[in-house]
Amino acid sequence: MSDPPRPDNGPAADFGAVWELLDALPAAADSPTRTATTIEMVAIDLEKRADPGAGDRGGWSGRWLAPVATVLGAVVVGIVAGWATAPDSEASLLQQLPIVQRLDLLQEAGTVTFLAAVAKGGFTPPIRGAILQTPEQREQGTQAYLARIDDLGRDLAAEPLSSAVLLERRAVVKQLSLDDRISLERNIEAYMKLSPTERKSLAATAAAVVDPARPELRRAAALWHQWVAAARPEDQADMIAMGTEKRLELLAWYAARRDVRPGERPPRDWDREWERRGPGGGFPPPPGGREPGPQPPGPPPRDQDRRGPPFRPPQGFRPPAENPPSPR
Amino acid sequence: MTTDTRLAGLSDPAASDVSTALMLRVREGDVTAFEDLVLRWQSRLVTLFLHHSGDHATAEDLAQEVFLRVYRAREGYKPAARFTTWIHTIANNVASDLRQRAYRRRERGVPAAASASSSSIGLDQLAVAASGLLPARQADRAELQAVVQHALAGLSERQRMAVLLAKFEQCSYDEIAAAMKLTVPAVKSLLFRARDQLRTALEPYLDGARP
Repeated sequence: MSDPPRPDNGPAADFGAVWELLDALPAAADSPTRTATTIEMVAIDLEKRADPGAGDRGGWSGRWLAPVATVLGAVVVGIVAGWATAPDSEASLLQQLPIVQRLDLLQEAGTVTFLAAVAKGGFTPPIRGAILQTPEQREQGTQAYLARIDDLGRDLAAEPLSSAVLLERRAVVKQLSLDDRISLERNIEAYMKLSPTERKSLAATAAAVVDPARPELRRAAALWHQWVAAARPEDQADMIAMGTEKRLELLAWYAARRDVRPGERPPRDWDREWERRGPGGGFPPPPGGREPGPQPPGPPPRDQDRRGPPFRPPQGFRPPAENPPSPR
Repeated sequence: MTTDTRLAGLSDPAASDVSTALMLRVREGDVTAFEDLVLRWQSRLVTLFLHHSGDHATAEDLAQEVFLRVYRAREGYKPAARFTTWIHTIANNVASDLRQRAYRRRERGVPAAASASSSSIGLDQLAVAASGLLPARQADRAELQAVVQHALAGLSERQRMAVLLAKFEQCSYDEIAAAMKLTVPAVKSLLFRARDQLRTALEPYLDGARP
């Protein structure tokens, strides 16, 4: 019973069956409260050590305490909730790696319904993009985006997944830089929080944009990417978060606005009709305008001038209290 | 399961390299990197201290103490040592300090925390377990957990820390030796005695578990 540990083995081998019994000991669960409390405690401690009277004068804790506690609380709650409800194993994550790695791309692209509507609607790139970038820069951005879709296509083409493919994916993860690893971790966290329906939608989008039989969807995704890229950085997340309907409303609204250029402002009755119908009422295209995809139901944002920037997609597309002021 | 371990599962158990890189960022004053470290390590440390002290609140306090020391010592961190080894060393020091505080309380006649000493362990329960009155096949997982916890609590503090580092942190003999500032033979001896003691305490369950 008391045979000494074998020198060349690790503790697991030396412990034998006792080792397996130790599996009965539970591991502590993640706790968002605990994490936030720790950050807070460290912040307070450092503040005290730096200057016992510094209390509220904006040292380490002053700068970080509130945002850190708030953000960590919210983020960790989400992470824990996601993990708690997600049955995925590492193998499952490896299978989904092409999608998880390109979560940002696919979430930006949206649903297949959206891409099909964009392709059908004949929308054009944003004017703001032409102001912000040279044609060469825009082309480079588009090509980089399409290259990511092509990479996705190559990864998805590896299915059905063999052990060799999974090993290759492990190797890819292993070779990631620190920043890429952290980025992947964040994508995993975000992916774990998605519902099964949302994951299926992402997978459908991934399959659609790489489908060689549906090149229009790939082009539609690239077009919407130009719209997102042309938005202010602080607005881009809101644009991506918009559902299919709101996205199409936004595109249709800008298409309608653009159709009256380079002529003049739409007649006043257009504005009145706009206001009268309100959100969801369905707004007709301007006189003489082309027929955009879906009809824009809402008014423009208050700060939107048809002469160009700033471009701020309206949250919820609420109507203004009054007609937008005339640019003239 | 933390993201750290998920990612490790996707690649290899080299997630500690990420922690080392994060610690280097902490050293340079990157607060968000420190937040990342807390997210990665806190549950692991709480698990370690939970089974070391036997008390959840104490475990959380000790884990916080570790992070406090990590941040205080950030400027002195040298990447020559892996972050894993470094934080395990700090964890062992924190556990040792707790033991010393408990000793001083006993010296002053203050009752020690129930969790802080193996003297408060239910040895009678251990005896019951060892006597075979609770055969493995009759014990459900909760019972088994309780028995293993009691058996673990019967170890000395240093034995327990070595076992926990090996089991929950997957440390090698070398890594345990570095964290506990012992020689490798001393660690092997420590674990050898711990194994024998655990085997004795858990004998009925070992017999029951064997085909």
